[in-house]
Amino acid sequence: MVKRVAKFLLLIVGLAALCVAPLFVSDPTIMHILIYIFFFAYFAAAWNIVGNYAGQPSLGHAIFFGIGGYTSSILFINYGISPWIGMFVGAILAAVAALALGFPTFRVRGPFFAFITLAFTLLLSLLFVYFYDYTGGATGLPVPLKGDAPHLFQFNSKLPYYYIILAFFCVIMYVIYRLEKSKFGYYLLAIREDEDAAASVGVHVFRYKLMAAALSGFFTALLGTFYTQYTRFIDPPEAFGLWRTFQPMLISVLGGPGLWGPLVGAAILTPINESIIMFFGGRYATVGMMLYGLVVMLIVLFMPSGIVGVLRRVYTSFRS
Amino acid sequence: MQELLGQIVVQGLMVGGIYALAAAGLTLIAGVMKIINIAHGELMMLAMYTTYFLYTLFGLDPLLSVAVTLPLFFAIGCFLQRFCIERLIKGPPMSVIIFASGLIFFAQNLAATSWTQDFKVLRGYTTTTFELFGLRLTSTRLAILASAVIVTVLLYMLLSKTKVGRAIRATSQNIESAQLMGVNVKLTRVLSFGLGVALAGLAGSLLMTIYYLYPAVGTPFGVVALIVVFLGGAGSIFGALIGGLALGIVEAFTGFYLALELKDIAAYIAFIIILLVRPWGLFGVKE
Repeated sequence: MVKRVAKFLLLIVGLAALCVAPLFVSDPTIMHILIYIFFFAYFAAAWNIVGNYAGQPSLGHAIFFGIGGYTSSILFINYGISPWIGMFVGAILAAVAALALGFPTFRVRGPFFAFITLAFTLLLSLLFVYFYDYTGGATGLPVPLKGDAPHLFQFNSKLPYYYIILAFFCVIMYVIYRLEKSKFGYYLLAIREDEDAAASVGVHVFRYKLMAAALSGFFTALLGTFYTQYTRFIDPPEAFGLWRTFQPMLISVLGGPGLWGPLVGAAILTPINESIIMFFGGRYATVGMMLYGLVVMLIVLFMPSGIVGVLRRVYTSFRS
Repeated sequence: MQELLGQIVVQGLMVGGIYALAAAGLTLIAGVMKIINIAHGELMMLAMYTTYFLYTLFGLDPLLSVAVTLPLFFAIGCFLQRFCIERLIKGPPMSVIIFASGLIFFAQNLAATSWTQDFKVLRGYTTTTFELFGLRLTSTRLAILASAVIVTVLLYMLLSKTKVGRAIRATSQNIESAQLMGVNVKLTRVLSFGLGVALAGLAGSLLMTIYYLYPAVGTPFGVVALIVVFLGGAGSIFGALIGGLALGIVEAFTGFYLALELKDIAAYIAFIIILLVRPWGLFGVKE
């Protein structure tokens, strides 16, 4: 009981600190890094729902991200619908897309969801370039500037974006926390550990995998809209590029499975990544990405429980 | 019109030959180890760079550079299997796929860092064109098609007639029984993976003669090879040849009648249909 209260208090203090932190930060670069930490943490957490909890890694979360970003922008540019509404339209479309991709693949054992999402990332970037009348083609879609317009998801300073992404992050953490404690979460755990055993005790394997995919797609699309509103621009490489698909997996693998893995992974990687881009820029950005690829390979080989797993092991050996 | 249709079919067969070669390596690995190496296309891309530099630096004919890429990529494949995949297949079920996507990202950015994002072609490399039954053919394209057929036959001979082939088939059917019969399963897996990657190297070298090169060139080819594997059935060598050629022809027609940019759509639609109807492939057998 005391432990639970202590944990709760720690959480409140941590959250309060995160809320007041930007008041002491005037440097927009640091603000930008803070935003990106929660951006990446949220992205990895959303990926985890299907990639980790349902045990079906996706190699195409860019699909859901891109659907989110493009839907809200196309609705805003062509019909004047506020991105706040478009965001949820995009999220529902992404959930439907996730169901459609999960339907043929979840009945078959093996990483078929990974294959089909990879194939469809390539397909969507083709289609979005080809149908340029609607999507702006290869030149992309700039989100029209409306000044400081909170009802249109546009702000002049970075501060509101920080609070929005922090709120996003809290929501997804709460959803995953509840998921871990729910029947649904235990079903997913059972499926991941042993599909046959889960099915034999009456867990509807196919249905729960689909639900996880839809949930993951939904939350990823919300982030797509956030990103597009923050950078005010989206184009096929931004939306459907390999880097976009690789981001959540990298953070998730680095941090490790579980509730806190994404935040730990993002808190470590984001400052490194942004510094590489800032100090080396264009040409050498690929050096960083090359190393990230290597990091993922090495972690899967030698440290499969990620940084959180290592910390946990150190902590337990320290106590005993 | 008939000549045009013939030309489209010929065009499709050439690209299909590349698909078949790429898929042959992938299906061999899939049959023996029940894993799909999604970084297959990136290995092809690295072979393309190897061929490109052998040509530009030493003037080596791309068709002859196969003599380098085959052994080189066989070695790379053996290394990957011995020191990485072997560890991973004992671990959590999805670790191979995550490892392979790390490899994709590593390889693409390695290429982009070392050799920039610029498009590269074999400058000054000419092929002989000749006519046969009113169809225009080039020597490189014929070489691709011929190698696809020859490789398939050789691979079939290797699997059905030799001792190594028998060990590979035994390992793919039942690991425990194979071990009991005295098959060195670990070595067999290393050899099969090496062979599969060597075929990616071969496909890459041949692709360089008809295609342009950039760091992300491999991904679509890797994905199409994966689709061909499911079309032909995992482990089916002839399935890969027929599936690859068929997909090549379908793509050529889609490209001609619909739009060149959308030619890949045929492959993706085929993929969904296979998954829905027969996930273990049209020619393969259900496990």
